[in-house]
Amino acid sequence: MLKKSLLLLLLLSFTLPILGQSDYIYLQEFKKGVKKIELKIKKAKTEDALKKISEDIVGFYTYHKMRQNFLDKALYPDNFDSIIEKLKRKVSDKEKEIKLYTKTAKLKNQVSKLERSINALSSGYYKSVKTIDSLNNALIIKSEREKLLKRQIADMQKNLNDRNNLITGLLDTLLLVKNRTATEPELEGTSNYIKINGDNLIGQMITLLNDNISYLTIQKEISPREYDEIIKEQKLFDESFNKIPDAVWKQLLGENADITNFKKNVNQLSARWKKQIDKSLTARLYEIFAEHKVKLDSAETFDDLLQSLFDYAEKKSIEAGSHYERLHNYKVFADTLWNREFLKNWAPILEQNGFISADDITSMQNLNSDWLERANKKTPLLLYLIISFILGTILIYIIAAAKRNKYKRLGIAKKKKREYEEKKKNRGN
Amino acid sequence: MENRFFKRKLFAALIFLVASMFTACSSITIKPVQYGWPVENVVKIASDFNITFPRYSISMNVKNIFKKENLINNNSPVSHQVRFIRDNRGYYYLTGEMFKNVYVLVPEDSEMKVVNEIFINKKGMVSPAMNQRGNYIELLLNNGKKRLKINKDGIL
Repeated sequence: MLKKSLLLLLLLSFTLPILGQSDYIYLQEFKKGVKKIELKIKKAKTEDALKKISEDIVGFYTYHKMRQNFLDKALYPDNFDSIIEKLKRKVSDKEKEIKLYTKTAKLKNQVSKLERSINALSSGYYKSVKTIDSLNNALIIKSEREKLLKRQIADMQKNLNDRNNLITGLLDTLLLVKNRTATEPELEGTSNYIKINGDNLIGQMITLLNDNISYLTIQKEISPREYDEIIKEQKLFDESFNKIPDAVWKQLLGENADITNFKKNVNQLSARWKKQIDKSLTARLYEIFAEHKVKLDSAETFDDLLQSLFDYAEKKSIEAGSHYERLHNYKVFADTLWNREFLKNWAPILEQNGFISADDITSMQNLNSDWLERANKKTPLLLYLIISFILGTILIYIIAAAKRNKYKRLGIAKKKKREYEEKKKNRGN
Repeated sequence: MENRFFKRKLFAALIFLVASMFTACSSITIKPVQYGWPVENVVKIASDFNITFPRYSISMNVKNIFKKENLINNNSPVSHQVRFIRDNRGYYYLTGEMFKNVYVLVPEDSEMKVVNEIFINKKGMVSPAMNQRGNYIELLLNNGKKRLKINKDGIL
Protein backbone atom coordinates (compact mmCIF):
# COMPACT_ATOMS: atom_id res chain seq x y z
CA MET A 1 0.00 0.00 0.00
CA LEU A 2 2.77 2.36 1.03
CA LYS A 3 4.68 1.42 -2.10
CA LYS A 4 1.63 2.17 -4.31
CA SER A 5 0.99 5.57 -2.78
CA LEU A 6 4.68 6.38 -3.09
CA LEU A 7 4.54 5.48 -6.76
CA LEU A 8 1.42 7.63 -7.23
CA LEU A 9 3.16 10.53 -5.52
CA LEU A 10 6.12 10.05 -7.80
CA LEU A 11 3.88 10.06 -10.87
CA LEU A 12 2.09 13.18 -9.68
CA SER A 13 5.33 14.95 -8.91
CA PHE A 14 6.44 14.03 -12.40
CA THR A 15 3.20 15.04 -14.15
CA LEU A 16 2.81 18.44 -12.52
CA PRO A 17 6.15 19.98 -13.47
CA ILE A 18 5.94 18.46 -16.94
CA LEU A 19 3.37 21.07 -17.86
CA GLY A 20 6.02 23.72 -17.89
CA GLN A 21 9.14 21.67 -18.56
CA SER A 22 11.35 21.81 -21.58
CA ASP A 23 11.43 18.50 -23.47
CA TYR A 24 15.11 19.07 -23.96
CA ILE A 25 15.72 19.31 -20.20
CA TYR A 26 13.51 16.31 -19.58
CA LEU A 27 15.53 14.33 -22.11
CA GLN A 28 18.77 15.40 -20.45
CA GLU A 29 17.39 14.32 -17.09
CA PHE A 30 16.37 10.97 -18.50
CA LYS A 31 19.86 10.48 -19.88
CA LYS A 32 21.37 11.56 -16.56
CA GLY A 33 19.13 9.02 -14.79
CA VAL A 34 20.40 6.26 -17.11
CA LYS A 35 24.01 7.30 -16.45
CA LYS A 36 23.39 7.31 -12.70
CA ILE A 37 22.04 3.76 -12.79
CA GLU A 38 24.95 2.66 -14.98
CA LEU A 39 27.38 4.09 -12.46
CA LYS A 40 25.60 2.32 -9.63
CA ILE A 41 25.88 -0.95 -11.57
CA LYS A 42 29.57 -0.37 -12.14
CA LYS A 43 30.17 0.29 -8.46
CA ALA A 44 28.08 -2.61 -7.16
CA LYS A 45 30.10 -5.20 -5.30
CA THR A 46 27.46 -7.54 -3.97
CA GLU A 47 24.49 -9.37 -5.38
CA ASP A 48 22.27 -7.59 -2.83
CA ALA A 49 23.35 -4.20 -4.20
CA LEU A 50 22.44 -5.39 -7.68
CA LYS A 51 19.05 -6.52 -6.45
CA LYS A 52 18.40 -3.00 -5.21
CA ILE A 53 19.54 -1.53 -8.52
CA SER A 54 17.13 -3.85 -10.36
CA GLU A 55 14.32 -2.41 -8.24
CA ASP A 56 15.52 1.11 -9.11
CA ILE A 57 15.36 0.23 -12.80
CA VAL A 58 11.75 -0.91 -12.41
CA GLY A 59 10.95 2.43 -10.69
CA PHE A 60 12.78 4.37 -13.38
CA TYR A 61 10.87 2.48 -16.08
CA THR A 62 7.51 3.18 -14.45
CA TYR A 63 8.39 6.86 -13.91
CA HIS A 64 9.24 7.46 -17.58
CA LYS A 65 6.85 4.98 -19.22
CA MET A 66 4.11 7.60 -19.81
CA ARG A 67 6.48 9.62 -22.01
CA GLN A 68 7.58 6.58 -23.99
CA ASN A 69 6.33 8.02 -27.31
CA PHE A 70 8.44 11.13 -26.91
CA LEU A 71 11.48 9.17 -25.68
CA ASP A 72 11.24 6.65 -28.52
CA LYS A 73 11.63 9.52 -31.01
CA ALA A 74 14.09 11.60 -29.02
CA LEU A 75 16.43 8.73 -28.16
CA TYR A 76 16.88 7.68 -31.78
CA PRO A 77 18.69 5.39 -32.80
CA ASP A 78 17.85 3.83 -29.39
CA ASN A 79 14.41 3.83 -27.88
CA PHE A 80 12.96 3.74 -24.40
CA ASP A 81 12.64 -0.06 -24.22
CA SER A 82 16.09 -0.68 -25.63
CA ILE A 83 17.65 1.65 -23.04
CA ILE A 84 15.86 -0.18 -20.21
CA GLU A 85 16.91 -3.52 -21.73
CA LYS A 86 20.51 -2.31 -21.84
CA LEU A 87 20.36 -1.43 -18.16
CA LYS A 88 18.92 -4.83 -17.29
CA ARG A 89 21.61 -6.55 -19.35
CA LYS A 90 24.30 -4.59 -17.57
CA VAL A 91 22.87 -5.74 -14.23
CA SER A 92 22.93 -9.35 -15.35
CA ASP A 93 26.49 -9.00 -16.72
CA LYS A 94 27.61 -7.47 -13.46
CA GLU A 95 25.95 -10.31 -11.58
CA LYS A 96 28.02 -12.77 -13.59
CA GLU A 97 31.12 -10.70 -12.96
CA ILE A 98 30.51 -10.70 -9.21
CA LYS A 99 30.03 -14.47 -9.26
CA LEU A 100 33.20 -14.78 -11.27
CA TYR A 101 35.00 -12.55 -8.84
CA THR A 102 34.05 -14.90 -6.02
CA LYS A 103 35.49 -17.76 -8.05
CA THR A 104 38.58 -15.71 -8.82
CA ALA A 105 39.07 -15.02 -5.14
CA LYS A 106 39.00 -18.78 -4.59
CA LEU A 107 41.57 -19.19 -7.36
CA LYS A 108 43.78 -16.62 -5.69
CA ASN A 109 43.55 -18.66 -2.51
CA GLN A 110 44.49 -21.72 -4.48
CA VAL A 111 47.53 -19.96 -5.89
CA SER A 112 48.77 -19.11 -2.42
CA LYS A 113 48.37 -22.75 -1.39
CA LEU A 114 50.23 -23.88 -4.52
CA GLU A 115 53.01 -21.47 -3.75
CA ARG A 116 53.36 -22.84 -0.23
CA SER A 117 53.40 -26.42 -1.55
CA ILE A 118 56.16 -25.59 -4.02
CA ASN A 119 58.27 -24.09 -1.25
CA ALA A 120 57.82 -27.18 0.89
CA LEU A 121 58.59 -29.54 -2.00
CA SER A 122 61.73 -27.65 -2.94
CA SER A 123 63.21 -28.14 0.49
CA GLY A 124 62.16 -31.82 0.34
CA TYR A 125 64.04 -32.24 -2.94
CA TYR A 126 67.28 -30.96 -1.48
CA LYS A 127 66.92 -33.28 1.47
CA SER A 128 66.78 -36.15 -1.07
CA VAL A 129 69.92 -34.87 -2.80
CA LYS A 130 71.72 -34.68 0.56
CA THR A 131 70.53 -38.18 1.49
CA ILE A 132 71.91 -39.52 -1.79
CA ASP A 133 75.27 -37.90 -1.09
CA SER A 134 75.42 -39.34 2.40
CA LEU A 135 74.37 -42.77 1.11
CA ASN A 136 77.19 -42.74 -1.39
CA ASN A 137 79.65 -42.11 1.43
CA ALA A 138 78.04 -44.41 3.98
CA LEU A 139 79.73 -47.64 4.97
CA ILE A 140 76.95 -50.07 4.20
CA ILE A 141 76.73 -53.12 2.02
CA LYS A 142 76.35 -52.52 -1.70
CA SER A 143 72.93 -54.14 -2.13
CA GLU A 144 71.49 -52.17 0.78
CA ARG A 145 72.94 -48.93 -0.59
CA GLU A 146 71.50 -49.58 -4.04
CA LYS A 147 68.11 -50.28 -2.55
CA LEU A 148 68.19 -47.03 -0.57
CA LEU A 149 69.50 -45.06 -3.54
CA LYS A 150 66.72 -46.35 -5.76
CA ARG A 151 64.17 -45.30 -3.18
CA GLN A 152 65.70 -41.83 -2.90
CA ILE A 153 65.80 -41.37 -6.68
CA ALA A 154 62.15 -42.45 -6.90
CA ASP A 155 61.35 -39.84 -4.23
CA MET A 156 63.24 -37.20 -6.23
CA GLN A 157 61.34 -38.12 -9.38
CA LYS A 158 58.04 -37.84 -7.57
CA ASN A 159 59.07 -34.56 -6.01
CA LEU A 160 60.03 -33.14 -9.41
CA ASN A 161 56.77 -34.35 -10.95
CA ASP A 162 54.79 -32.71 -8.19
CA ARG A 163 56.68 -29.45 -8.50
CA ASN A 164 56.38 -29.41 -12.27
CA ASN A 165 52.65 -29.95 -11.96
CA LEU A 166 52.37 -27.27 -9.29
CA ILE A 167 54.31 -24.69 -11.29
CA THR A 168 52.35 -25.29 -14.50
CA GLY A 169 49.18 -25.31 -12.42
CA LEU A 170 50.23 -22.02 -10.87
CA LEU A 171 51.01 -20.49 -14.27
CA ASP A 172 47.68 -21.70 -15.63
CA THR A 173 45.88 -20.26 -12.63
CA LEU A 174 47.65 -16.93 -13.14
CA LEU A 175 46.49 -16.95 -16.73
CA LEU A 176 42.98 -17.99 -15.78
CA VAL A 177 42.67 -15.16 -13.28
CA LYS A 178 44.09 -12.69 -15.80
CA ASN A 179 41.73 -13.86 -18.56
CA ARG A 180 38.70 -13.85 -16.36
CA THR A 181 39.29 -10.36 -15.09
CA ALA A 182 40.57 -8.93 -18.37
CA THR A 183 37.27 -9.47 -20.14
CA GLU A 184 35.24 -7.68 -17.52
CA PRO A 185 35.71 -4.25 -16.01
CA GLU A 186 37.66 -4.28 -12.78
CA LEU A 187 35.61 -4.37 -9.64
CA GLU A 188 35.85 -1.21 -7.62
CA GLY A 189 38.64 -1.46 -5.10
CA THR A 190 39.86 -4.87 -6.20
CA SER A 191 42.93 -5.91 -8.09
CA ASN A 192 42.88 -8.00 -11.21
CA TYR A 193 46.01 -9.76 -10.18
CA ILE A 194 47.04 -12.18 -7.53
CA LYS A 195 48.97 -10.84 -4.64
CA ILE A 196 51.81 -13.34 -4.49
CA ASN A 197 55.52 -12.90 -4.08
CA GLY A 198 56.62 -12.63 -7.70
CA ASP A 199 60.32 -12.94 -6.94
CA ASN A 200 59.72 -16.14 -5.00
CA LEU A 201 57.70 -17.63 -7.87
CA ILE A 202 60.37 -16.77 -10.41
CA GLY A 203 63.08 -18.12 -8.10
CA GLN A 204 61.17 -21.36 -7.64
CA MET A 205 60.66 -21.66 -11.38
CA ILE A 206 64.34 -21.23 -12.20
CA THR A 207 65.38 -23.64 -9.42
CA LEU A 208 62.89 -26.18 -10.69
CA LEU A 209 64.21 -25.94 -14.25
CA ASN A 210 67.75 -26.47 -13.00
CA ASP A 211 66.64 -29.40 -10.84
CA ASN A 212 64.93 -30.99 -13.83
CA ILE A 213 68.15 -30.68 -15.82
CA SER A 214 70.34 -32.06 -13.03
CA TYR A 215 67.94 -34.93 -12.35
CA LEU A 216 68.48 -36.18 -15.89
CA THR A 217 72.21 -36.33 -15.24
CA ILE A 218 71.82 -38.06 -11.85
CA GLN A 219 69.32 -40.69 -12.91
CA LYS A 220 70.70 -43.05 -15.53
CA GLU A 221 68.04 -45.71 -15.68
CA ILE A 222 64.95 -43.85 -16.73
CA SER A 223 62.12 -45.95 -18.07
CA PRO A 224 60.24 -45.10 -21.30
CA ARG A 225 57.16 -44.18 -19.24
CA GLU A 226 59.22 -41.78 -17.12
CA TYR A 227 60.70 -40.20 -20.23
CA ASP A 228 57.20 -39.75 -21.56
CA GLU A 229 56.20 -37.94 -18.37
CA ILE A 230 59.33 -35.75 -18.41
CA ILE A 231 58.89 -34.78 -22.08
CA LYS A 232 55.26 -33.89 -21.47
CA GLU A 233 56.11 -31.88 -18.36
CA GLN A 234 58.71 -29.88 -20.29
CA LYS A 235 56.26 -29.15 -23.11
CA LEU A 236 53.52 -28.18 -20.67
CA PHE A 237 55.87 -25.85 -18.82
CA ASP A 238 56.90 -24.17 -22.09
CA GLU A 239 53.28 -23.66 -23.12
CA SER A 240 52.08 -22.47 -19.72
CA PHE A 241 54.98 -20.07 -19.26
CA ASN A 242 54.73 -18.48 -22.69
CA LYS A 243 50.98 -18.03 -22.39
CA ILE A 244 51.35 -15.59 -19.49
CA PRO A 245 51.16 -12.03 -20.82
CA ASP A 246 53.83 -9.49 -19.94
CA ALA A 247 51.30 -7.49 -17.95
CA VAL A 248 51.02 -10.29 -15.37
CA TRP A 249 54.79 -10.54 -15.00
CA LYS A 250 54.97 -6.77 -14.63
CA GLN A 251 52.38 -6.96 -11.88
CA LEU A 252 54.35 -9.70 -10.12
CA LEU A 253 57.85 -8.33 -10.62
CA GLY A 254 57.19 -4.60 -10.70
CA GLU A 255 56.83 -2.09 -13.51
CA ASN A 256 60.58 -1.60 -13.90
CA ALA A 257 61.44 -5.30 -14.16
CA ASP A 258 63.22 -6.42 -17.32
CA ILE A 259 60.53 -8.83 -18.46
CA THR A 260 62.09 -9.51 -21.87
CA ASN A 261 65.36 -10.58 -20.32
CA PHE A 262 63.66 -12.64 -17.63
CA LYS A 263 61.52 -14.44 -20.21
CA LYS A 264 64.59 -15.04 -22.37
CA ASN A 265 66.44 -16.60 -19.42
CA VAL A 266 63.57 -18.89 -18.48
CA ASN A 267 63.09 -19.94 -22.10
CA GLN A 268 66.81 -20.66 -22.41
CA LEU A 269 66.66 -22.86 -19.29
CA SER A 270 63.62 -24.64 -20.63
CA ALA A 271 65.45 -25.23 -23.93
CA ARG A 272 68.39 -26.66 -21.96
CA TRP A 273 65.99 -28.98 -20.16
CA LYS A 274 64.63 -30.13 -23.54
CA LYS A 275 68.15 -30.69 -24.86
CA GLN A 276 69.08 -32.63 -21.73
CA ILE A 277 66.05 -34.89 -22.19
CA ASP A 278 67.22 -35.63 -25.74
CA LYS A 279 70.76 -36.27 -24.55
CA SER A 280 69.69 -38.50 -21.67
CA LEU A 281 67.30 -40.46 -23.88
CA THR A 282 70.01 -40.98 -26.50
CA ALA A 283 72.49 -42.15 -23.88
CA ARG A 284 69.94 -44.54 -22.38
CA LEU A 285 69.14 -46.16 -25.73
CA TYR A 286 72.80 -46.30 -26.69
CA GLU A 287 73.44 -48.17 -23.46
CA ILE A 288 70.62 -50.65 -24.12
CA PHE A 289 72.09 -51.47 -27.53
CA ALA A 290 75.60 -51.65 -26.11
CA GLU A 291 74.47 -54.14 -23.45
CA HIS A 292 73.69 -56.53 -26.33
CA LYS A 293 77.08 -55.86 -27.91
CA VAL A 294 75.62 -53.71 -30.63
CA LYS A 295 78.29 -51.08 -30.97
CA LEU A 296 76.75 -48.02 -32.56
CA ASP A 297 78.56 -44.89 -33.68
CA SER A 298 78.60 -42.35 -30.87
CA ALA A 299 75.58 -40.01 -30.80
CA GLU A 300 74.71 -36.87 -28.83
CA THR A 301 71.15 -36.49 -30.00
CA PHE A 302 68.39 -38.91 -30.80
CA ASP A 303 68.59 -37.97 -34.49
CA ASP A 304 72.26 -38.97 -34.52
CA LEU A 305 71.41 -42.21 -32.75
CA LEU A 306 68.74 -43.01 -35.31
CA GLN A 307 71.24 -42.44 -38.08
CA SER A 308 73.70 -44.73 -36.28
CA LEU A 309 71.05 -47.44 -36.07
CA PHE A 310 70.40 -47.21 -39.79
CA ASP A 311 74.15 -47.24 -40.54
CA TYR A 312 74.64 -50.26 -38.31
CA ALA A 313 71.78 -52.21 -39.85
CA GLU A 314 72.91 -51.39 -43.37
CA LYS A 315 76.51 -52.32 -42.66
CA LYS A 316 75.72 -55.54 -40.86
CA SER A 317 73.14 -56.71 -43.36
CA ILE A 318 75.71 -56.84 -46.15
CA GLU A 319 78.63 -58.00 -44.02
CA ALA A 320 80.31 -61.27 -45.07
CA GLY A 321 80.46 -64.13 -42.66
CA SER A 322 79.11 -67.54 -42.01
CA HIS A 323 75.42 -68.19 -42.27
CA TYR A 324 75.25 -68.71 -38.54
CA GLU A 325 77.12 -65.51 -37.79
CA ARG A 326 74.95 -63.39 -40.07
CA LEU A 327 71.78 -64.86 -38.67
CA HIS A 328 73.00 -64.30 -35.14
CA ASN A 329 73.76 -60.63 -35.85
CA TYR A 330 70.32 -60.17 -37.34
CA LYS A 331 68.64 -61.86 -34.41
CA VAL A 332 70.40 -59.69 -31.85
CA PHE A 333 69.76 -56.39 -33.59
CA ALA A 334 66.46 -56.83 -35.36
CA ASP A 335 64.67 -59.44 -33.29
CA THR A 336 65.83 -58.76 -29.78
CA LEU A 337 66.66 -55.06 -29.79
CA TRP A 338 64.59 -53.46 -32.52
CA ASN A 339 61.43 -55.54 -32.43
CA ARG A 340 61.21 -56.59 -28.80
CA GLU A 341 62.83 -53.69 -26.99
CA PHE A 342 62.66 -50.62 -29.21
CA LEU A 343 59.39 -51.07 -31.07
CA LYS A 344 57.54 -52.44 -28.09
CA ASN A 345 58.75 -50.14 -25.30
CA TRP A 346 60.24 -47.01 -26.84
CA ALA A 347 58.80 -46.36 -30.31
CA PRO A 348 55.22 -45.47 -29.20
CA ILE A 349 56.51 -42.81 -26.78
CA LEU A 350 59.15 -41.51 -29.16
CA GLU A 351 56.68 -41.33 -32.03
CA GLN A 352 54.09 -39.61 -29.85
CA ASN A 353 56.61 -36.99 -28.77
CA GLY A 354 57.97 -36.34 -32.24
CA PHE A 355 61.38 -37.99 -31.87
CA ILE A 356 60.77 -40.59 -34.55
CA SER A 357 58.37 -40.73 -37.47
CA ALA A 358 56.29 -43.62 -38.78
CA ASP A 359 58.37 -43.40 -41.98
CA ASP A 360 61.58 -43.96 -40.00
CA ILE A 361 60.08 -47.06 -38.41
CA THR A 362 58.91 -48.41 -41.78
CA SER A 363 62.34 -47.78 -43.32
CA MET A 364 64.05 -49.71 -40.54
CA GLN A 365 61.53 -52.54 -40.87
CA ASN A 366 62.28 -52.75 -44.60
CA LEU A 367 65.99 -52.70 -43.92
CA ASN A 368 65.62 -55.52 -41.40
CA SER A 369 63.56 -57.60 -43.85
CA ASP A 370 66.30 -57.30 -46.46
CA TRP A 371 68.83 -58.21 -43.81
CA LEU A 372 66.91 -61.33 -42.84
CA GLU A 373 66.64 -62.36 -46.47
CA ARG A 374 70.37 -62.01 -46.95
CA ALA A 375 71.17 -63.74 -43.68
CA ASN A 376 68.97 -66.71 -44.61
CA LYS A 377 70.68 -67.28 -47.96
CA LYS A 378 72.76 -70.59 -47.95
CA THR A 379 75.41 -71.85 -50.48
CA PRO A 380 73.63 -74.12 -53.02
CA LEU A 381 73.96 -77.93 -52.53
CA LEU A 382 75.22 -78.54 -56.05
CA LEU A 383 78.15 -76.25 -55.40
CA TYR A 384 78.97 -78.25 -52.31
CA LEU A 385 78.74 -81.51 -54.33
CA ILE A 386 81.03 -80.21 -57.05
CA ILE A 387 83.50 -78.96 -54.52
CA SER A 388 83.33 -82.30 -52.66
CA PHE A 389 83.79 -84.22 -55.94
CA ILE A 390 86.81 -82.18 -56.91
CA LEU A 391 88.30 -82.49 -53.46
CA GLY A 392 87.58 -86.25 -53.48
CA THR A 393 89.20 -86.69 -56.90
CA ILE A 394 92.26 -84.79 -55.80
CA LEU A 395 92.47 -86.93 -52.65
CA ILE A 396 92.14 -90.19 -54.59
CA TYR A 397 94.77 -89.02 -57.05
CA ILE A 398 97.11 -88.16 -54.25
CA ILE A 399 96.60 -91.53 -52.57
CA ALA A 400 97.02 -93.35 -55.87
CA ALA A 401 100.16 -91.44 -56.66
CA ALA A 402 101.55 -92.15 -53.27
CA LYS A 403 100.82 -95.85 -53.67
CA ARG A 404 102.40 -95.94 -57.10
CA ASN A 405 105.52 -94.33 -55.77
CA LYS A 406 105.61 -96.84 -52.97
CA TYR A 407 105.42 -99.82 -55.38
CA LYS A 408 107.87 -98.15 -57.60
CA ARG A 409 110.19 -97.69 -54.71
CA LEU A 410 109.58 -101.34 -53.69
CA GLY A 411 110.36 -102.54 -57.26
CA ILE A 412 113.70 -100.70 -57.30
CA ALA A 413 114.58 -102.10 -53.95
CA LYS A 414 113.84 -105.64 -55.07
CA LYS A 415 115.83 -105.13 -58.22
CA LYS A 416 118.78 -103.78 -56.26
CA LYS A 417 118.52 -106.69 -53.83
CA ARG A 418 118.52 -109.17 -56.71
CA GLU A 419 121.54 -107.45 -58.27
CA TYR A 420 123.31 -107.49 -54.96
CA GLU A 421 122.59 -111.15 -54.47
CA GLU A 422 123.77 -111.92 -58.01
CA LYS A 423 126.93 -109.93 -57.37
CA LYS A 424 127.45 -111.80 -54.14
CA LYS A 425 126.93 -115.09 -55.93
CA ASN A 426 129.38 -114.10 -58.60
CA ARG A 427 132.00 -113.13 -56.02
CA GLY A 428 131.49 -116.42 -54.31
CA ASN A 429 131.98 -118.26 -57.52
CA MET B 1 -19.52 17.37 -95.63
CA GLU B 2 -15.95 16.35 -96.10
CA ASN B 3 -14.77 19.71 -94.78
CA ARG B 4 -16.79 19.25 -91.55
CA PHE B 5 -15.29 15.83 -91.00
CA PHE B 6 -11.82 17.27 -91.45
CA LYS B 7 -12.55 20.07 -88.92
CA ARG B 8 -13.70 17.54 -86.29
CA LYS B 9 -10.56 15.51 -86.70
CA LEU B 10 -8.40 18.58 -86.37
CA PHE B 11 -10.26 19.63 -83.21
CA ALA B 12 -9.80 16.19 -81.63
CA ALA B 13 -6.09 16.24 -82.43
CA LEU B 14 -5.75 19.68 -80.88
CA ILE B 15 -7.48 18.58 -77.66
CA PHE B 16 -5.20 15.52 -77.45
CA LEU B 17 -2.13 17.71 -77.91
CA VAL B 18 -3.15 20.19 -75.22
CA ALA B 19 -4.06 17.39 -72.79
CA SER B 20 -0.67 15.74 -73.38
CA MET B 21 1.10 19.02 -72.70
CA PHE B 22 -0.73 19.48 -69.36
CA THR B 23 0.06 15.92 -68.29
CA ALA B 24 3.74 16.42 -68.99
CA CYS B 25 3.94 19.66 -67.03
CA SER B 26 2.23 18.43 -63.79
CA SER B 27 4.62 17.17 -60.96
CA ILE B 28 4.09 14.40 -58.42
CA THR B 29 3.29 15.44 -54.86
CA ILE B 30 3.95 13.34 -51.75
CA LYS B 31 1.74 14.01 -48.78
CA PRO B 32 1.21 14.20 -45.93
CA VAL B 33 4.77 14.83 -44.66
CA GLN B 34 5.71 15.44 -41.05
CA TYR B 35 8.96 17.25 -40.71
CA GLY B 36 8.76 17.74 -36.96
CA TRP B 37 11.74 17.09 -34.70
CA PRO B 38 10.77 15.39 -31.44
CA VAL B 39 12.94 17.65 -29.34
CA GLU B 40 14.70 20.95 -29.84
CA ASN B 41 18.42 20.96 -30.48
CA VAL B 42 20.57 23.05 -28.23
CA VAL B 43 23.95 23.74 -29.78
CA LYS B 44 26.99 25.76 -28.93
CA ILE B 45 28.00 28.58 -31.22
CA ALA B 46 31.52 28.60 -32.50
CA SER B 47 33.50 31.83 -32.48
CA ASP B 48 32.85 32.18 -36.20
CA PHE B 49 29.07 31.87 -35.53
CA ASN B 50 28.87 28.41 -37.08
CA ILE B 51 26.52 25.85 -35.61
CA THR B 52 26.11 22.15 -36.44
CA PHE B 53 23.44 19.57 -35.69
CA PRO B 54 25.16 16.20 -36.08
CA ARG B 55 21.92 14.21 -35.76
CA TYR B 56 20.39 15.98 -38.77
CA SER B 57 23.67 16.70 -40.59
CA ILE B 58 22.88 20.40 -40.78
CA SER B 59 25.40 23.17 -40.33
CA MET B 60 24.88 26.89 -40.78
CA ASN B 61 26.21 30.29 -39.89
CA VAL B 62 23.98 32.43 -37.63
CA LYS B 63 25.98 35.66 -37.65
CA ASN B 64 23.18 37.60 -39.40
CA ILE B 65 20.68 36.60 -36.73
CA PHE B 66 23.07 37.72 -33.97
CA LYS B 67 23.59 41.00 -35.82
CA LYS B 68 19.85 41.48 -35.98
CA GLU B 69 19.52 40.70 -32.27
CA ASN B 70 22.48 42.98 -31.55
CA LEU B 71 24.21 40.21 -29.60
CA ILE B 72 27.70 40.63 -30.96
CA ASN B 73 30.49 41.90 -28.77
CA ASN B 74 34.04 42.22 -30.18
CA ASN B 75 32.99 40.18 -33.16
CA SER B 76 31.97 37.28 -30.86
CA PRO B 77 28.50 36.03 -29.92
CA VAL B 78 27.25 37.29 -26.57
CA SER B 79 25.03 34.29 -26.08
CA HIS B 80 26.77 30.92 -26.41
CA GLN B 81 23.89 28.64 -27.28
CA VAL B 82 21.02 28.65 -29.77
CA ARG B 83 17.93 26.50 -29.74
CA PHE B 84 16.61 25.10 -32.95
CA ILE B 85 13.52 23.07 -33.72
CA ARG B 86 11.49 22.13 -36.79
CA ASP B 87 7.71 21.96 -36.76
CA ASN B 88 5.61 19.34 -38.46
CA ARG B 89 5.03 21.58 -41.51
CA GLY B 90 8.76 21.96 -42.09
CA TYR B 91 9.44 25.43 -40.72
CA TYR B 92 12.50 25.92 -38.57
CA TYR B 93 12.41 27.99 -35.37
CA LEU B 94 15.55 29.54 -33.97
CA THR B 95 15.98 31.43 -30.74
CA GLY B 96 18.29 31.71 -27.77
CA GLU B 97 19.09 33.33 -24.46
CA MET B 98 18.63 37.12 -24.57
CA PHE B 99 16.93 36.91 -27.99
CA LYS B 100 14.00 39.28 -28.49
CA ASN B 101 12.53 37.24 -31.32
CA VAL B 102 11.93 33.71 -32.44
CA TYR B 103 12.99 33.39 -36.08
CA VAL B 104 10.95 31.27 -38.48
CA LEU B 105 13.09 29.95 -41.30
CA VAL B 106 12.64 27.96 -44.46
CA PRO B 107 15.41 26.13 -46.34
CA GLU B 108 16.38 27.44 -49.73
CA ASP B 109 19.21 26.61 -52.12
CA SER B 110 22.24 26.55 -49.77
CA GLU B 111 20.64 29.08 -47.45
CA MET B 112 17.88 29.61 -44.92
CA LYS B 113 15.46 32.40 -45.37
CA VAL B 114 13.78 34.14 -42.43
CA VAL B 115 10.08 34.19 -43.24
CA ASN B 116 8.89 35.56 -39.92
CA GLU B 117 10.29 37.18 -36.82
CA ILE B 118 8.05 36.50 -33.84
CA PHE B 119 8.62 39.26 -31.34
CA ILE B 120 8.54 37.99 -27.77
CA ASN B 121 10.29 40.32 -25.38
CA LYS B 122 11.93 43.72 -25.66
CA LYS B 123 14.46 42.95 -22.91
CA GLY B 124 15.36 39.58 -24.34
CA MET B 125 14.17 36.16 -23.29
CA VAL B 126 15.32 34.42 -20.08
CA SER B 127 15.82 30.67 -20.25
CA PRO B 128 13.78 30.07 -23.38
CA ALA B 129 12.98 26.53 -24.54
CA MET B 130 10.90 25.10 -27.36
CA ASN B 131 8.83 21.94 -27.29
CA GLN B 132 7.31 20.05 -30.19
CA ARG B 133 3.57 19.91 -29.69
CA GLY B 134 2.34 18.72 -33.07
CA ASN B 135 0.21 21.54 -34.39
CA TYR B 136 2.32 24.21 -32.81
CA ILE B 137 5.59 24.87 -31.04
CA GLU B 138 5.45 25.54 -27.33
CA LEU B 139 7.75 28.33 -26.24
CA LEU B 140 8.71 28.27 -22.57
CA LEU B 141 10.13 31.33 -20.88
CA ASN B 142 11.63 31.96 -17.46
CA ASN B 143 12.33 28.26 -16.79
CA GLY B 144 8.87 27.20 -17.86
CA LYS B 145 6.97 29.75 -15.80
CA LYS B 146 5.55 31.31 -18.94
CA ARG B 147 4.35 29.35 -21.92
CA LEU B 148 3.44 30.55 -25.41
CA LYS B 149 2.08 28.70 -28.40
CA ILE B 150 3.65 29.75 -31.67
CA ASN B 151 3.58 28.71 -35.31
CA LYS B 152 5.08 30.11 -38.51
CA ASP B 153 2.67 33.04 -38.46
CA GLY B 154 3.30 34.17 -34.87
CA ILE B 155 1.91 33.76 -31.39
CA LEU B 156 -1.35 31.83 -31.29
